[in-house]
Amino acid sequence: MNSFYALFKALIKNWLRSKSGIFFSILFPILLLVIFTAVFGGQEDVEYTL
Amino acid sequence: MIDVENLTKKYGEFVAVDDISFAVKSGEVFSLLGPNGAGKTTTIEVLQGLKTPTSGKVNVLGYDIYREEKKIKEQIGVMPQNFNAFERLTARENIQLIAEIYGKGDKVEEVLDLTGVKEFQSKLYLNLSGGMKTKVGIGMALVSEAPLLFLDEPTTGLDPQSRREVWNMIEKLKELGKTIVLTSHYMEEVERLSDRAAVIINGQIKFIGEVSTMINDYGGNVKLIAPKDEVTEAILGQEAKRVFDSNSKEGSITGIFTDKKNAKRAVIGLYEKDYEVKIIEPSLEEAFMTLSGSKINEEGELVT
Repeated sequence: MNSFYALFKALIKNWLRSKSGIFFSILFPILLLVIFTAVFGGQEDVEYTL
Repeated sequence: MIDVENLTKKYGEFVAVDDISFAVKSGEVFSLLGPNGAGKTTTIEVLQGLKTPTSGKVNVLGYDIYREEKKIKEQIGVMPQNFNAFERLTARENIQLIAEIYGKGDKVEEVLDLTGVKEFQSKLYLNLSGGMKTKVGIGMALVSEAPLLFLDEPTTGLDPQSRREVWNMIEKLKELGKTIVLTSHYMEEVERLSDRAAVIINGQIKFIGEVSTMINDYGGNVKLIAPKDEVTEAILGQEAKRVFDSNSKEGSITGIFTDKKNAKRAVIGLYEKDYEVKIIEPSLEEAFMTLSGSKINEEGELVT
């Protein structure tokens, strides 16, 4: 268990120190969410009648 | 410490290690010397329990490689070829990690001092030079307090200064009584560090024994090069087996000696008459050349 914890700690620390890693795994998905919501969000249902 | 009998390792039809036998004694530095692709890394990966042999008996630290490979892994320190560590952890944190895995947290300071990593312990691994990275790698292999260390080409790609620093460190480990299995294609490294060595080419051992024995038996003759005149011709002519005009230096002659006593007498005779003499002693490179018919270049390739 100790080895698992030590390795986990090292992996997290290594990841947190990588700016690009953090950007692409946290900020980038949020950014995409915001952009797509802004573009496609709030559209009303369109009804077509023939 | 290690006993290998008739070890063979095949990859499909390709025979990487071909029926080799050797033993490594406690407290010695044993080297596997050979060009790239000779089977050095495969051999030590079998010893580390990372690869299963095709056939043969292998016993490491008293454990059988087929049945007790886990116990072997717990008691060895390894620095693999092209070693790498966590890039965004500091030198210290990388060593600390291995120490924590092995429950040896209290050994970190000692290893930092011994390996010289303390000087740059706070630098991120990705910002370290090649020599520094190697020191961290050796530190990571050492911190588990393993009695047996495997160093797979530890100085390949390093500059001469860093290479010497790593050699000094390996010598310190030797003084501490560690048993070290080293692989290398650098003659100078093997000659300086090893107690015994095995020359391995195409998966086969061509020579095994003390490095000094290999040099004495296969390292060629002593050569003396002196300025050419009547006196030097007379002295060399009397003591040397053969005397000829030097190819390398104009105006000088070379004497070849099969007996070291004659060479000594000639050197004394020449020095007494104030001559500058160049002495070329038998070398490991020459011994390797005799045993294999080839040389190893800086990149580790065999050249004829």
